[in-house]
Formats: sequence, structure tokens, C-alpha cells
Amino acid sequence: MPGEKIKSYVQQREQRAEEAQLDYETAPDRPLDDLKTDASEILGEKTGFLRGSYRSVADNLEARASIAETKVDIQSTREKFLEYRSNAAQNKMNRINERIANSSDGFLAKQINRQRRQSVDKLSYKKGIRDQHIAKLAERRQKKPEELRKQIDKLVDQKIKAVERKAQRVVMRREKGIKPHQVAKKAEFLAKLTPEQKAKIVRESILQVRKQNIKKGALDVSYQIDDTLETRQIGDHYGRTTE
Amino acid sequence: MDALLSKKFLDSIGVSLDESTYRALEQHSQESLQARIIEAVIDLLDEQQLEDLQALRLSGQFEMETWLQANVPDLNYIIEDEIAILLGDIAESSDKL
Repeated sequence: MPGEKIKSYVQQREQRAEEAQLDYETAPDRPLDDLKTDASEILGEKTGFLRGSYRSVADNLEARASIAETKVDIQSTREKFLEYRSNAAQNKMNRINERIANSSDGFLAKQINRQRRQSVDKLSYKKGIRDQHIAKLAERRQKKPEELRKQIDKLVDQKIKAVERKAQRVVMRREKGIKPHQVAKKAEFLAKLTPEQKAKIVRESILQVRKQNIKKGALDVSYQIDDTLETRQIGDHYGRTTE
Repeated sequence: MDALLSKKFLDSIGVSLDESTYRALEQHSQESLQARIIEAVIDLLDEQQLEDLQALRLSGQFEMETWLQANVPDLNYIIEDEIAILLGDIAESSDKL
């Protein structure tokens, strides 16, 4: 009976939670080697599908942040990113080929190897298309003046760093324990927001950012350093007393 | 926001467009930016905050943007980042424009 299964599962989890509580309470009295902490339980990977779902959202975002970071590391041009993907495909093909070479001659192994060869063919085809694309992009890039290339690279750099920050922001919120709202509520809110409301919110918010950035600029300009003064006046509204 | 996608910016990435295409691109960029910012902001709200914002939207008595500025500490960064992402997208696609 499904009901019985769920009941038994819940009981098991409750019992495990009690054990974990006991483990936690007695931990300070036991030697370090005797601790029974299970990392997967702390991360919530095996504590029910809902907790698991939150965890997978966070994992996904962490992965996005790490991909964005990788992109920064390997230079930011689109060609370099494609090249990175192409190399990754080559590495995967090498791994699969190695498995084929090391497999046994049994019937099952032959069937699996047939599927593996299909995967290699598919990867090779995709890699070929990607390589052609890289060559085309590199050719176009070479035709552009140096200054233009630098400007585009700078904007792409800024974009990649922004994507990284965006992913990190969401991960940090999850780490602080702020749970995301239901997708349905978000969709409902977005659907009911009129284009005028969207435009107004964004326009006003951008205005505030601009004002703040302008003020920051004004502060930078009017900042006077004089070590003999006890109070440093910064701009028109802010003063800081030196210690 | 009008100066976000100026002709000067497009010139700087080697894009030259006729007037009607430029207007269409600018309009599209503005709409994309609006959608991205709103979505990024909402993604950072928790359930209670989203309900509060929904209530504000329905009551119409209080400005939502003022509420967002007070309740979303990263709002400035979100806007700066979304603008950077949009401009980066355009720069990346400059070959196709």
C-alpha cells in the first residue's frame, strides 16, 4: 500500500532525525573520529523531494556561477567560449573512446559500445559545426579594427561579470536561508503587472541608480584630503571625523 | 533610459542602422530590460515580500518603485548588472545587426 510505504518512510526519517539530534548533543563528549555526521543530510539532498528541490535550485545556481567564473578565466570573447565548449566535447569523446577500448568482449559490452560509438559520432558532428562557427567568428573578428574589438571585448567582459554576480546573489540568498517563493505566485504577479507599471518601476529605479552614481562621482571629485583637519568634509552632506 | 542605446553606443561597437531599425531595436531593448529587471527583482523576494508587493499593486495607494527601493537592498546592483548583460548581449550580436 502506498500509504503504508509513506508512513514507514516518514517514521524512518523521524527516527533518523532523532538520532541526528542525539549525535549533535553528544558530539562534544566524543572523540572526533566517532562523529557520525552525514554531509548529504546536512545539505538536504536525501531528506524528501521538497528539500531536495530547493537544494537542486541552489546547486543549479552554483553551477551557473561556476560556469560564469570559468568564462571569466578563459577570456571573455565568444570565440574563446566556443573553443572551450569544443575542447570539452573533445575531452568527452576521448573519455568515451577510452571506455570502449577498455571494455570486455561480452555481448552486453558490445551493445553498450555500439551506443557509445553513436554518442561519439553525435559529439563529433556537433564539434564540427562548432569549429566551423569558431573559424567564421575569428575571421570576422580579424577584420574589425583593434579599437572596435577592444570595445566589444570590454562590454562582453562586463556582461560575464554581471552574469556571475547575478547568479551569486541568488545563491547567497539561498545560503542565508531565504526560501524562494512559489513559481505560480511569481507568474501570477508578472501576468498582472501592466506594461506601464513595469516601465514606471524600471524607469524610476534606473533614475535612482543614476542619481546615486552621479552623487558618488561628485563625492569623489570634492573629496579633500588634509591630515591636519579633524573632520574631513566629503561633498555637501557628509563629514567624517578622523580617529 | 533613453540614452541607454544611443547611436553613439551603437557606433562604438561598429553597428550602423537606419532610423526605423534603430527605433525598433531601442524599443525592443527597453522592453527586454524592463522584463529582465522585474524578473531579477522578483526572484530575490521571499514569499511574504511578494505578497506585500502584490497588495501594493492592487491598492494603488503607494508607489511600488519606492517600496522596491526600500525593500530590495541589491536593487542598484540588479539594475547595473542587467544593463551590463543587455549591452553585452548587443555587443556579442553586433555582427548580426
